Amino acid sequence: MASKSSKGSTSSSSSILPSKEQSLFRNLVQLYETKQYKKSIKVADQILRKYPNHGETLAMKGLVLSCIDRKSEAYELVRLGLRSDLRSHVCWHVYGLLYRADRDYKEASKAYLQALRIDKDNIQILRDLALLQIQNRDLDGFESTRRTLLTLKPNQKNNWIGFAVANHVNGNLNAALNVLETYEGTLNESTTANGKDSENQEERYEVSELEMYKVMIMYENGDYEKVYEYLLKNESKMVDKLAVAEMKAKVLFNLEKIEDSIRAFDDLLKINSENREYLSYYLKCSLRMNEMECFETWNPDLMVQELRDYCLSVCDDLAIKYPDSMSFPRAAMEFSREDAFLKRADVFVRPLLRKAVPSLFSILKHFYSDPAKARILGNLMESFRKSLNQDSPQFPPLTSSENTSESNPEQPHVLLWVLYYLVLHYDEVGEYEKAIEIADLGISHTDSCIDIYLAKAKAMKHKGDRRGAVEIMNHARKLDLSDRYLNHKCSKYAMQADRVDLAEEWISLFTRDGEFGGIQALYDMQCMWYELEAGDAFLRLNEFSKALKRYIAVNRHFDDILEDQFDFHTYCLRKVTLRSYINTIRMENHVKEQRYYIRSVKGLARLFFRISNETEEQQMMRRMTVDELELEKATPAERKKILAKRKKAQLKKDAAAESVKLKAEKDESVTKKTQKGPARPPGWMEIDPDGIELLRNVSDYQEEAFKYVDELRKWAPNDIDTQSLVFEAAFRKQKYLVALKSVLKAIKIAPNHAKTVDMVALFFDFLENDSLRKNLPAAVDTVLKSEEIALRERGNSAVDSITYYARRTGDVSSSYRQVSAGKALFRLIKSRNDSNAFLRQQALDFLCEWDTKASLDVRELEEVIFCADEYGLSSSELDTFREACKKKYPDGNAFGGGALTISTE
Amino acid sequence: MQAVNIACLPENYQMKYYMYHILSWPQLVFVAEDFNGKVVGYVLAKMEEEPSAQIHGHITSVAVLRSHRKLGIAKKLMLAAHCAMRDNFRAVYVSLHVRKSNAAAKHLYIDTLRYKIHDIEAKYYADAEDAYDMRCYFNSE
Repeated sequence: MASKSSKGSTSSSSSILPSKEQSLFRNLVQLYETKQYKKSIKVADQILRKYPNHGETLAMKGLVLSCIDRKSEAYELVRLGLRSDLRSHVCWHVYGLLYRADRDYKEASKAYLQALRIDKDNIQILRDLALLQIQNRDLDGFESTRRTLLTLKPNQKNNWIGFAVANHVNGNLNAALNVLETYEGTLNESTTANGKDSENQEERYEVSELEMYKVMIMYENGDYEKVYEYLLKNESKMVDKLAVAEMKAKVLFNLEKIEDSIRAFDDLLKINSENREYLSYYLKCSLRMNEMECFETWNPDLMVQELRDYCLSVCDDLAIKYPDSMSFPRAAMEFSREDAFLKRADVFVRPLLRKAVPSLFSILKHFYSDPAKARILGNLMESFRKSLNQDSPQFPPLTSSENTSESNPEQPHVLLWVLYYLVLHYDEVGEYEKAIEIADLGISHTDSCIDIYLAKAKAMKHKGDRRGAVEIMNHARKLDLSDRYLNHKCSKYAMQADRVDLAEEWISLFTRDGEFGGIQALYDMQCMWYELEAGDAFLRLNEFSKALKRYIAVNRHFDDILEDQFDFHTYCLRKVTLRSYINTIRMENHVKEQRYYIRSVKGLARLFFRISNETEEQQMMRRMTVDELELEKATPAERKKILAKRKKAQLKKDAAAESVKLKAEKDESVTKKTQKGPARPPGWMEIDPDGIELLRNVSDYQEEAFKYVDELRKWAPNDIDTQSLVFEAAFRKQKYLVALKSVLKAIKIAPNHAKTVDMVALFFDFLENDSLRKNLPAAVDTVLKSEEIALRERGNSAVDSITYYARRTGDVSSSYRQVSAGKALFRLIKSRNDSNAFLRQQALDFLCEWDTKASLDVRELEEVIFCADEYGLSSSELDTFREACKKKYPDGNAFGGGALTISTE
Repeated sequence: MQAVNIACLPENYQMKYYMYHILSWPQLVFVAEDFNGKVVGYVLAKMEEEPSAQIHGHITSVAVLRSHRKLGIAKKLMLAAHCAMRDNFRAVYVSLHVRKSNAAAKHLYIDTLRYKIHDIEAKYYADAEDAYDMRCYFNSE
């Protein structure tokens, strides 16, 4: 990499070597580039013996050392080299390369810029710098570097494309287009036969991709007219027929050429009738043609009746035109209600039941947000069950037909899939007992049907019997041991029942093939859902270091995914797959908004807040290894014994390791590569598997929590959990304005959420606390006063805001609000250190006296048990609470019900 | 896509491999989403880059979640990939590997999509199972 630059080196007088050493230096660079590191070092040393202060040689030696994992020496040597030859661009370049290898792109960029100051037209360094800048999203810098590269080497295609891309990502769409057009202009002058040469497939494809890229830029620029004309003129050059057809259809729509547009989307629906975007456009076109108002986003609930009916008729027509498609009849169900909905549902589900389609419920699940539709579907299926249960099993007559005569008899499996549907139905509407009862009917109908067990396990989990659910899942898993889907589901259930050990055992059954097994293999394959579930389970179990290890694993995957872009910055310019490249860049800009990352960071923030709540003594124990803990707990006499024992064991281990090493060396010298590498380096999950070192390296738990809260604020600001954690951090930091902001934001995004109630109450409490308030700067107090009014809508005091919330009537979630109020009141009491017995009783009443018939997610209740410390519940209060929960969820494991252990027999 | 892959198949890949496909042959990657926008199936395909042979594509991986089978999703994904291979890359045929023991997949490839067994690759998979090397010529469709 440094070779070109060093050959062209003309600067820095101090670095000039005599010709013999110069050729040695060239040799050194060559050896480095061919990865012959040992030889490189020898040559470097040879030069350094004569010229110990030769900067570039020192730097090169450092670079070589960094490749063989001697990082700290490497930095030392390169810095030494720099000091002896500050005017050498080679030294600066090498310095940049070191940082780049360590993924520190900021520092690397700085070093490259220094190198360019000395040798401003060095192509190699410029290219490397451009890479770093786009990776780092230093977009202005990227554009300017790309401009320099184009100016220096205008005969290279990549430089034109690179500069166009730089303009595009910077939002200079016109400029990007100009660059590409200018480039094509230069082509026409030099090579005339560009169009004819399309016999060469690779070139044909590249030409097409570049044309499509131009179209993409024009479209984003809103030049629809131009896009349309361009497509017509150049279509023969574009091989991506599907993309061309999509683009044409969209452009026609934007140009209000509605009749042409609807035809174009109809053609697309012929290709893929299940594509929802096509259908959405088709509907919009139909509405426009009828001069009806168009919808922005597809949401039947927000549409006026007239609009909905019209969409319904369009979908019905399409369903007749495309009888094999599922999306049209299903869309018709979205636009219909009551009897119209029932009729369509009835026709829709029958063939799918006959075909035994397991995803039928998932296809219809969306309708359950409307309780009326959920009821209709449930009744329909119950009517099927009744009719199919007769001696001659058959469906009842279609709701839509007048004909009441009997239909043909059905196969027995149809009843089974009706039962399966009903299990999921009752589970979804919260009738878990009924779901389980029907599941058992299904099992006695066909005890080999795996899906029924999955549905049953789900219902059991939802009523809190997590351990019982694992048993059912495990039964299903055993019915088909070769099915990885079942294996994963089963492992997930085990973790949700806090049995990570079982989960690890099961999930590892499928990871034995590769070089690594078990958890390391899952880490290598970035299996994040697994790590998140394990992290959550360990957090519940207060095994902080283990949880930390899992969450950090997830964060590392995201860093890797960001890093993954690096090679493609060059690759895509060459391949000309620029549309895809731009989309990837945009995806990466938002990759940390993905829910996996957010879940992980939430876990980390909670974890560190929890540890920071512990006493100093507890924290100290956390930092200890198992060995150290053993010593800590032992008496002095025992301690001596333990130490002696350990020393002996260590000696034995060392000796064993030594003999293994000797043997390995011997084997290697005798037969190289006869067996697989005997000592593969351990993976990240295998080093410090329990995260003890990881936790030990954190010096300030609270600061660490703050760090993750900031990350959440950056990537998930509209998440209520984020605001709640921001609030907590702000209070700990005594940043009351930040706290206020998060309360207001919470009210905006989730006014009825338990966390919002919590925050409002705690903030009121702060406002009522004169001793705290009088120490505030006057400016802060003024802002607080002006914003207080917004909060007063929710009550007049801390306690008031909670009771006001709990007593408000009129919506279905009354029990949720009651429990939430209980939690908030307990938190308030704890934070105030309040000893008011009346208030405490009131909190307990809220927490325990709610309507057991109303719907309430078991997790809301479990959370109180897991976090009893945070709410400051006494053990007798906790018992009262458990009893109350048992009335609704008698089998809830957290309340002492359900399966006591997990039997894996 | 990655999550669907690891829930269905023993052969798994890192994210970068998916990116490599999307950025090399953007037209040859398709996913199926359920009505909640969750990915439930995918096909990952590529073009073989041996200059000597006939131009042909290769199905790297295709999978549909167990919970979403029997809807013809795999077939639709495969056909979409085939079509894109012909349009964009002038592929003459497409090849794939399948485990000898995988009856359901063989049924899809041979009976529904008209693939023919071209060769057997001994011990192709990490667990030493043999693979059928199958091909589907487009002009015969």
